Amino acid sequence: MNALRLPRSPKVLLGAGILLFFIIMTVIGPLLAPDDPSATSFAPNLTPSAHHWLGTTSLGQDIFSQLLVGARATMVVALLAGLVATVLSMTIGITAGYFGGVSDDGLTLLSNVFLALPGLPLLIVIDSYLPVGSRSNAFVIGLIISLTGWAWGARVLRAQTMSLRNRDFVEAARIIGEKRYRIMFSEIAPNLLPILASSLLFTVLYSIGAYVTLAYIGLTSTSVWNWGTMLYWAQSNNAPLSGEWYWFVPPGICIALVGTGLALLNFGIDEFINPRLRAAGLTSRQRRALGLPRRVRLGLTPVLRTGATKKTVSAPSRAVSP
Amino acid sequence: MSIKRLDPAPMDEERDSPRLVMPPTTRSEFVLDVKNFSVDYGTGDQMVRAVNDVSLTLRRSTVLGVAGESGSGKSTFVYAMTRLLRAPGLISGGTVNLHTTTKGEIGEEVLDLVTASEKELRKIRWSHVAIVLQSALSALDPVVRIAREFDEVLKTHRPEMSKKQRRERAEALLATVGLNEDRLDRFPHELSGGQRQRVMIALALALDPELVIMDEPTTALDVVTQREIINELQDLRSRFDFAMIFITHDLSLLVELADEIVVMYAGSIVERAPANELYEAPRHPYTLGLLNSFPPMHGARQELTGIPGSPPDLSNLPIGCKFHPRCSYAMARCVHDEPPLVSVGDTGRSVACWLHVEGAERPVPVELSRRVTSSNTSDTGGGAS
Amino acid sequence: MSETNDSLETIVQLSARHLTRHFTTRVHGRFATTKRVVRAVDDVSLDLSTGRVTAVVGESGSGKSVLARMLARIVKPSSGELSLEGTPIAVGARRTIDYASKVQLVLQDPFASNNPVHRVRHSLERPLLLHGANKGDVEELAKAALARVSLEPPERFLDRYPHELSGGQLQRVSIARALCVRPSVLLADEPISMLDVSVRLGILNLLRGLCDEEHLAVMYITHDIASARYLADETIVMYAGQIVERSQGTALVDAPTHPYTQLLIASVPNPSDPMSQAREKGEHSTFAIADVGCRFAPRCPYAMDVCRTTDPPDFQVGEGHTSRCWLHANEPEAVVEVALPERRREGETTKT
Repeated sequence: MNALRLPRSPKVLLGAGILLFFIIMTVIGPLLAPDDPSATSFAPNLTPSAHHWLGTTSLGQDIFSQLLVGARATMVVALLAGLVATVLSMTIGITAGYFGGVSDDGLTLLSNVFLALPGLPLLIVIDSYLPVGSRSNAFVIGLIISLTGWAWGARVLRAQTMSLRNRDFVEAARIIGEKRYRIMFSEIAPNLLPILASSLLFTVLYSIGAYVTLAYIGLTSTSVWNWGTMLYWAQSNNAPLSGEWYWFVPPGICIALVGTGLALLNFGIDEFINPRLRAAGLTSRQRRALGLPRRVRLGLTPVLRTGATKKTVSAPSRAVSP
Repeated sequence: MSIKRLDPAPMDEERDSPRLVMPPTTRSEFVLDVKNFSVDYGTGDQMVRAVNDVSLTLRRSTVLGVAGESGSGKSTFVYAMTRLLRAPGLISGGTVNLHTTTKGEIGEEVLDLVTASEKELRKIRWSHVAIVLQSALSALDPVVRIAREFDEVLKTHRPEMSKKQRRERAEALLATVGLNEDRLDRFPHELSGGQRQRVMIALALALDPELVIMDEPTTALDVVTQREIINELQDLRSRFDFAMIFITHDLSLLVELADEIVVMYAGSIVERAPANELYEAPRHPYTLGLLNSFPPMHGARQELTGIPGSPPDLSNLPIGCKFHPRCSYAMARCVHDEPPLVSVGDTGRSVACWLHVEGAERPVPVELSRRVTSSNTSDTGGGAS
Repeated sequence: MSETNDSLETIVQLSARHLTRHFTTRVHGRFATTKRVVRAVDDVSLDLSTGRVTAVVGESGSGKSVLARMLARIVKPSSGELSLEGTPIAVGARRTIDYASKVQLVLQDPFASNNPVHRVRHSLERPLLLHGANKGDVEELAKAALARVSLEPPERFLDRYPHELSGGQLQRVSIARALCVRPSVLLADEPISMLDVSVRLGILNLLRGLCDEEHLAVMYITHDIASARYLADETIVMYAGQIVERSQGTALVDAPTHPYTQLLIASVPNPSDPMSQAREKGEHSTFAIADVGCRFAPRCPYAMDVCRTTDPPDFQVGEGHTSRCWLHANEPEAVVEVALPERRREGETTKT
């Protein structure tokens, strides 16, 4: 799809690189883990060493293994929740925007309710009603997170759909007799692709935060390893106070890095949607090569001066005295 | 570069005899003198030349019409000329000499807009050169009343005026374009398209400029409104005596309005002629095609053909004459060599077409020396009836 | 008001009677919001027949686009009747796929009416599939449709994106999209106004050819009365939702009888006769529409007392030529000091 030709700025490349690294970690992390993350088979509170790259917990578990194994659960839940939330927001947003009227009012009310309700307390309430067994189920957790994360995207998509709804190509599709769902998902949705992608990144970011938070406050099964449960155990064993930084810093850095990667990619999409953020046409290197000012000012078209075209006429002949 | 004082200078060496010493009261007859002006978009292998080596002059108090279709570079040309074109647009050569005069002073100042500094440009914009754009709705600030637009312009350029004087001047300006003074307290969205365009024209005239540039000012308007605005403009010009560059794709409108017309195609001037002559006897096949593209309002209906093919794609221009793929008179030479703009006749006309160059392969077709209009032909039984 | 069928071959395909569409807009005042009814289209009757081009001329706000959308049935009329090939259609009923394959509409701006994310192939194959073509045939049919609008060779255009084509080519794609379902009525809403001057005639000639060779009933909507004169078998002038003048052929352009038509014609840039321009002064550019009486009265230089109180009916002013103006009544109140060309005082037709 040529609509997604992202600008290849260093930002986007860095973001994509970071994400790729963590996705690979998701896939092969558990295979690479040197030890069973739950096995309490080592001496407690070891500092990082060649055997235990990130030391051990106070129960004698290998922290590096926990980090690698935990990546999968964290990323899977985040991606799943992000995907489900994006599909939800797309369906609800485009439907509301396209139909307008009563269905719009209803769906807008619904998304406003979800926007107004604070997400985390809602999550905690829903989560606490779950049977204990399903708390370890990544699917269930992902679905619950997506339920609290779709509303913002739906609003954005609704607004965009409303502006597309009256465009001529939508009318043209109606004239040839296209069905409504096809107009929404085959004519309008592809035009929203950059926004959908941005919304997906945003919800994935939100989901990681939500999942880690739930795990950190102990609301998911503490026997499933993810970065949140690592923080939970580190906290409950007073790791920050006893200076065991290798226990809680690595998962924290991983979370921050995934977030950074997502945000960098999002910047790229933003530049794509909003050409005003792009450096207008000429790159700074081109400018320097041409001897043009670095910044473009409005109302001052740059002038290319090569050796051949000198300021010939700008110094017209002086008066000939009579 | 600072503005040059040139009180006793003969301005145009080519036209005036160099031996002739001009008295110190002389002003040149031109207000604008463009030489070898080129504009590119982008650089390197993505470079597209939008305006190619354009030279023209504009006499004081005359109307120059610039006609052309999409991709002809007509808008790029005037935006770049006034240094308003945004990057990636880039002026890649030429000079644009603006001859400005000041009331009560003899002589004139000449400023090359291409080398002018931002400060110099700010000084001449609006007070000497004013621009009216196609979309008046986007040019007017939607949250500001009309009165404030006038106020700000006058405040900036005429700081000696009092608030009351500014208001009076704004009312007078609106009156000159046929609007009631109560419009001053309206917001742009409360006015119709034609009224907004009138406000734009009044704003452009606020500082009594010598040159007004109009970029398709009537394209978005209905015919009746367009007619009113055109009549208004002709009226204003006879009263305020400014020179005007009028850009449009509507050649028939230009024939009516302009003294002289320049036809652009693919970034170059292909023909330049006094308006009546261009209408009655176009020299360039493209001009002829354009004129024949307007169905006539009189005479028998007959099938017209327009110009085959599509307007040029600037990033993929043919070699030789840019028009040759669409030209029904194309000769072998047109495919290889680009024709220069040469003068024909003695009325200051010029045309860029090999047909009019000495030693052309074929004689000049009769329709390129005198146009056959529908009113003097019989119905050929074309398909349009 | 029935049409004079000047040839036996013309069959009325789509006929509209008393088509009306009112919009209610809210006017936000300082203290309260009041509702105002805008009569976008008011009591318009017309027939579209095979092999004939009916031109509808009007400025923006005249209701010509709403009329086209009502005929295409993507806007529901407030009242009135429609019949396709003699079969009446319930006004409130949903538009069926059958109707869509009989009556097609081409929109004004080719750049906006082609989805930027889909190739030309998509714009042609979707309607074909929707209207019952076999999956295996659509490619050939799509190519045939492109060839019909002179986009040759068709293979070169099928896989292009809209931004890769010029305006004229894209408008041809739009026409091909409308034609590929084999409609009998083609409504064209300002098909050339967004195009370059040099390619406009190509589109007009294409429409003319479709009408002459394939016997389509064409409605050509425009603000450009010169192009209507070039193309039309019947010309209709609309002002503020009403038909103010209509004639067979170009009688209306050559000898306009309604003051609005005269104003329109005088406004057209006409280099061959620059002295004949109507010179109006003052603030006329407001699209002033009267609520009572003749809607054009506030702008009309010949307005009489009766014009400000009573809406004029259609008066016959010539063979197949009617004018909605009191100047052409049997007993005009005032002696008309204006020289209206070819003014005939014949019997008044029934007012509907």
